[in-house]
Amino acid sequence: MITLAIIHEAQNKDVCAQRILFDCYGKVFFRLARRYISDPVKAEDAVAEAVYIIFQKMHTCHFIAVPPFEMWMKRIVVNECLKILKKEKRFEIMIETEEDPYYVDDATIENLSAEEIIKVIEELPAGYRTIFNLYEIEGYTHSEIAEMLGISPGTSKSQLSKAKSLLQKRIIELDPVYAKRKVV
Amino acid sequence: MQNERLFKKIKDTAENASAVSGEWDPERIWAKVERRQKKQKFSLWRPYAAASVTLIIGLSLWFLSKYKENNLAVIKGSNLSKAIIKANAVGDSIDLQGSVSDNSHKKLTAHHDLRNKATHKAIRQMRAVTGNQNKDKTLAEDHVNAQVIDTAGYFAGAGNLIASVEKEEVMETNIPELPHDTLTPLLQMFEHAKRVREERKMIVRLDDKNRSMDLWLFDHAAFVEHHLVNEPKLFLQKR
Repeated sequence: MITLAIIHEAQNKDVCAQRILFDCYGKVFFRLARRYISDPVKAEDAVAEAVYIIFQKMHTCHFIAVPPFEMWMKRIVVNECLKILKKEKRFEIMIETEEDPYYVDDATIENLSAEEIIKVIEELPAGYRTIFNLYEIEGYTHSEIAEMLGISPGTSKSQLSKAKSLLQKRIIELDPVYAKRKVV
Repeated sequence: MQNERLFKKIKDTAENASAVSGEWDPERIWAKVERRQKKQKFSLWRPYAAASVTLIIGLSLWFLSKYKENNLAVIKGSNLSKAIIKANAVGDSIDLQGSVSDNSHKKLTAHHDLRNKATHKAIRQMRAVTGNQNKDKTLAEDHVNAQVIDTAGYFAGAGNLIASVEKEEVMETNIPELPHDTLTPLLQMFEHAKRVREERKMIVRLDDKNRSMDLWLFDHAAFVEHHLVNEPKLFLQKR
């Protein structure tokens, strides 16, 4: 359990406190990084760099509670992931034609496993996946996403819409009933 | 509505899923963090080290250039120096003869004595010409110079004649400054004072000459020199 005392000790460059923080949040950061970067080695690099930045910069901030500290750390991890994506030029805006919206029924939603969901998200193109993660999972606004990625809010909205559409399509394709119907 | 439910489930799953736990290796990531921190520590020291090395190199180069300047001052326009070089030339001719016949230690010593004699003779002649001004100081400096030349000549006698001639032309000298040079600032001050005095006289003369002319009263110098405070009425009447 992380307390403010541990955070303050880590702010004073105490290695033990820093290690406790890493043990507590490292896995969360790695999971977060893997949602953006499909390559686990690069995700590790992003986490390592983010943790280093957190330890370097945390003495400049004053935290009065743990949740804001967690949000601050997650934002750093997300920024590092975006940096890596931009460096690799993998973040590309997809230009696709408008597709009809797909509707996933309740049974399909109920039957979806965690692995399937993660797999579907990982298989999304990097641009779609990034905007979907930022908006739907991290809770950023379109203007924030536009600022982070250097795009317009309108582009962010359209990319999110297309990402959702593709995601639903792929989830429907996972449904055995749909697959059977398609084969027939 | 259905889609909202779907995305809520996706969000919950993404936040809590443990599908990546197999790839999670905390020690490897921690090692990367530590490596990064060490690198940072080194990169903090690096600019200081580079700066200190640059400073040391710069200082050594500066001292070297200073040393060279001191040692390689070329003789210019000094009668005393010319006389010493002349004496060295005499010494060189003796040296040449000596080296042709025999390079033994005895002859080199003889050459050394001869050179000393020639140099001192030249110095005495110069001193007779220049007088007794700064006698003690110049004597000491001359002795040092003569010794420098003698040493160079001694080694030249042992082998490299040409090199010795080249070396002897380059030596450390303290040329006594001419009285004219020392008086230059005084002369300049005197000239300046003289010029100012003449200008003042000119203004006064001009003032006296044109006192009755209205046009000159508008001149700045005329205003200054006229002391309008004392005779304002005169000025107004003339206007």
